[in-house]
Amino acid sequence: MKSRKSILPRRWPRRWKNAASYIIVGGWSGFSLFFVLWVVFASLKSTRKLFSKPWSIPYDPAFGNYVKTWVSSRFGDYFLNSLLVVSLSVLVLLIVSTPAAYVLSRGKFRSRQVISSFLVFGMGVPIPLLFVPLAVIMAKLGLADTLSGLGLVYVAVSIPFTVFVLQGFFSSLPSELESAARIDGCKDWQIFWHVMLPLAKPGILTVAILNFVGLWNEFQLALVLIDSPENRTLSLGMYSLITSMKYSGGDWAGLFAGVTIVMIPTIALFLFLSDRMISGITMGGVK
Amino acid sequence: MLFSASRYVLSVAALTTGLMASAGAGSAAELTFWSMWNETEPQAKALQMIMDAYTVANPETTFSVVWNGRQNQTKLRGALQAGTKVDFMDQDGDQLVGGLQKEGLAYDLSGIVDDELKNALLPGTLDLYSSDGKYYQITYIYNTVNFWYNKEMMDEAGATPPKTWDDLIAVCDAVKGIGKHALVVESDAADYNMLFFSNLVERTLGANAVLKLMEDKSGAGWADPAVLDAAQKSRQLWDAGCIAEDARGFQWPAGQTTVALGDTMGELVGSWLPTELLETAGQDFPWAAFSFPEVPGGVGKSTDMEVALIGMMVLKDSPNAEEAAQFLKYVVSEEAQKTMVETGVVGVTRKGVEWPAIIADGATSAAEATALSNFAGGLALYYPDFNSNVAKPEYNKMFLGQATPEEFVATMVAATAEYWKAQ
Amino acid sequence: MMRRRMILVFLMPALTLYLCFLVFPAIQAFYLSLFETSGFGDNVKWVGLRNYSRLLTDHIFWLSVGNMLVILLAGGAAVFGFAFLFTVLLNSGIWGKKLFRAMIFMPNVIAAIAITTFWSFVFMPRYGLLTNILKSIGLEDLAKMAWTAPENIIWAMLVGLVWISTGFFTILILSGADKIPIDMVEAARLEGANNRQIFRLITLPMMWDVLLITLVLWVVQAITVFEFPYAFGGPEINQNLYTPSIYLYIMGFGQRDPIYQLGYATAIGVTMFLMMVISVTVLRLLLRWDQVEY
Repeated sequence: MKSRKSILPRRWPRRWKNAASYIIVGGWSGFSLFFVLWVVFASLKSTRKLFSKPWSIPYDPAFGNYVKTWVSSRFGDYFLNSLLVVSLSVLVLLIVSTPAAYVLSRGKFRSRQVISSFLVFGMGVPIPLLFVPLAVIMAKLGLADTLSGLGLVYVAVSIPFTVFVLQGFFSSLPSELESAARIDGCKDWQIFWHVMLPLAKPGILTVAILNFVGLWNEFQLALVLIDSPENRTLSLGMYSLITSMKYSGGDWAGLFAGVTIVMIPTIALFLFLSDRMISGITMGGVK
Repeated sequence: MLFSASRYVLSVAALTTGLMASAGAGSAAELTFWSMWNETEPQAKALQMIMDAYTVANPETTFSVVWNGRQNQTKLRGALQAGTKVDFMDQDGDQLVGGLQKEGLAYDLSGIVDDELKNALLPGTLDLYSSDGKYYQITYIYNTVNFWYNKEMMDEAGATPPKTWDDLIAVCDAVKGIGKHALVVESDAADYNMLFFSNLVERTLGANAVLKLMEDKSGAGWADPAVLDAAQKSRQLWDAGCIAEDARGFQWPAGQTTVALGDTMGELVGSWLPTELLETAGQDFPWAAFSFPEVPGGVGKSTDMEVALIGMMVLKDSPNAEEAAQFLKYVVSEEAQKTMVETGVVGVTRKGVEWPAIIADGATSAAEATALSNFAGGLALYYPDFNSNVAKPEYNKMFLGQATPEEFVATMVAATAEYWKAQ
Repeated sequence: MMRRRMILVFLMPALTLYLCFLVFPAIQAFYLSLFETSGFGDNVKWVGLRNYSRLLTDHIFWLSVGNMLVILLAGGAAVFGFAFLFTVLLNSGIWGKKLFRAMIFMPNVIAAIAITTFWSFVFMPRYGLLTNILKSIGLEDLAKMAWTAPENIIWAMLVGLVWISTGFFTILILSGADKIPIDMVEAARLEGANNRQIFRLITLPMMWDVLLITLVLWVVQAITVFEFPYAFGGPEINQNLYTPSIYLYIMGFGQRDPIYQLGYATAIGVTMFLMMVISVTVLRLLLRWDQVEY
């Protein structure tokens, strides 16, 4: 959009307008950066120091906060749980969603449109509506309080968005390659495996990252489906740290060490792949 | 298909566990304990030592512990539904009554509660949660409700522990004189705040009076002038400047932290406060406690006291109920209770076991107690949902100035009538 | 041609999981909401629509709906205001658009549960960051404010929620704006259209779809919001922070005090779902009707 439509007063010279844009946008962006830095600094102070000098830079970092959170508060275990359940869920999700999306975008059969809309409908189901029924179903299946049960639910609730985005991606691929392959005598599954799947890699990677980040941060389903401390995911561990640290005198510094541990993996992913993630979300959200 | 297959797997699993359980009975039992403590807390360390000692003495009994933290009981249902085996658990006594005992999920412990055991424990501690003469939990930690305060600050302000409500207001003035506040509250800890109300009602009408207010099914119980008076007196604490204005925004534990940091003299709360603040306040903090003051014309004595006992309960469906019950008996033995005190830094229910020095005043009031009432009036015992959804939040609203004492009384009358109508 | 069998094999796994763990429980919710049960097994009681009639007179439920409306309307105004502002500013030809876009979006990749911890510390009375800043610039009176007092706490929470959501909606609206073909704008300008006309005749109609979709997304998010206010409220969450989702969780599972009312909790979920369907339908009708006017 080159219209240079400006909401700033028209009489202002261009340079002022630019400066104002930088200040507003830069200020908001800067706050994101400040948030991360402040949390990391806070995690390296003692709690007393944190209360008395919340703005200081910790020159003698208290790494003990991390040791305490990682070992005594079991963040090491929770980190592994999260890594396991989230990676496997994303893997299964891709294995079931990619073929479905392919068939729904490229196949020609009568119920195609119906099935597509039926899947999209899933994006509108509020997760809290599922709290009680899922708890009941999981108990019946003997999957309550297990990471595999949680993983199954993670896959199911992520299917609609994933299929939707991948379907759009497959539709955007040129159909010439497909017909060429068919003329060469490829069978239908060979076309999928050897032609379309390689082409769809960027799209698959995008949904993989988005789902990884989303499930890594997922909290409410884990809260409802997981009971035992040894099965806690990292976000549940974070919540239990919030509630338990308060019984032992308010160890805020240890809490911020926990926050840092939770956010480092997703921020690292974001640093390298922000463009891909943002384009994936806009693809899913605005089509 | 899917469902019948999983049902098959389930029944096989049930059979195997059943076999294992019957093979294990009598010879070796692993008791599963679900605990309200977090693994990092001193109480958990003490319990772990007690269990280890028990296993040394009884090698056939071992333990598997799940340190759930305070949401222990909330998590329990999911676990029971999923078929997870839980033999015994601990939680605040009133919550065990309201949640599990009422649902018929507790194992009858009357078999191990004999006169000898009753006499060995501080008066009333077992009876507080018994129902129809049967005992379903063994209380093993004793928390008294007092004003826990910084003795040096009291001395500095030139004040002495108050005997009457007016004395208390005078203490507030004295502390204000040295630029501090006498009391602090947490805006979100509604049951702590309710302690002012329940204690005031009990000082006027006698022990366990709050429960009796609730028993009048027309709701008229709450129309007793003592209720309005208690509500007004608790508002008075703000008007008289006993509590700092910004305490209206403290989210627990921000309020109690001000005591540790020396900004506030004390707080009306359970005797766990010094333990919780051990790290922030330091070992040498001059802790002391005074009892809730008397009110003019009231029948409640200053030695009547609210308590929050923590109990252990064996679950009815436990395959090792008898073994678990034997262990519960051990937890209140002199040896185990000493460990609880020394490592767990808490008060205990057994007579003659000396409490930790920082809560010595709590031990005194426990020994002198003339009548026990439950924490915050005890509504949590029999009306847990009413307590959580109506009594606590409505009182808190009034206490923090979002409603008048008169409105509070009217709401309670109406809500109680409605509650009984719906039953 | 794709064979029927392949279509079936490719669709089945996804559809099965979707049906078993999303569609089936969603439908079962409607059924469960007609019962009264603690979930312990033996005492399931059919109550018909009684859970719903109880909801109508439950003032805590209405309190939670009120809070939800605050989030929906006030939060929505702030989120969309900021998102449009940033869209316009980022498209005014400034340097580093991509970088700024990424930074504005960043809070969305961090677990909400972790972010609440920071905001709790910001708004903590007496020791918090905000009080600290206000004190250091001499605003002693404001510094004494109890930002988390009962009447303020939802607004304090909303600040953090708006901060996160703004990033999400900015990238959506920005991508909508970027879809407008430049040639079209240039052509209109050559024809002598002024800024206002371009906005009314090109920008707005072209962005209408995006606007509708983002509004629907916001409505859905606002009605179902759970974890941010829940974690902000700490271990004993204040009723002034209840949203319908939180009330559902409290009634069905409980925080520290266990309350086991599964049927009632599910009825709250179904009601939320209906509120969502109704508001999305209304929104669509309203916007379609408006569009005709342009």
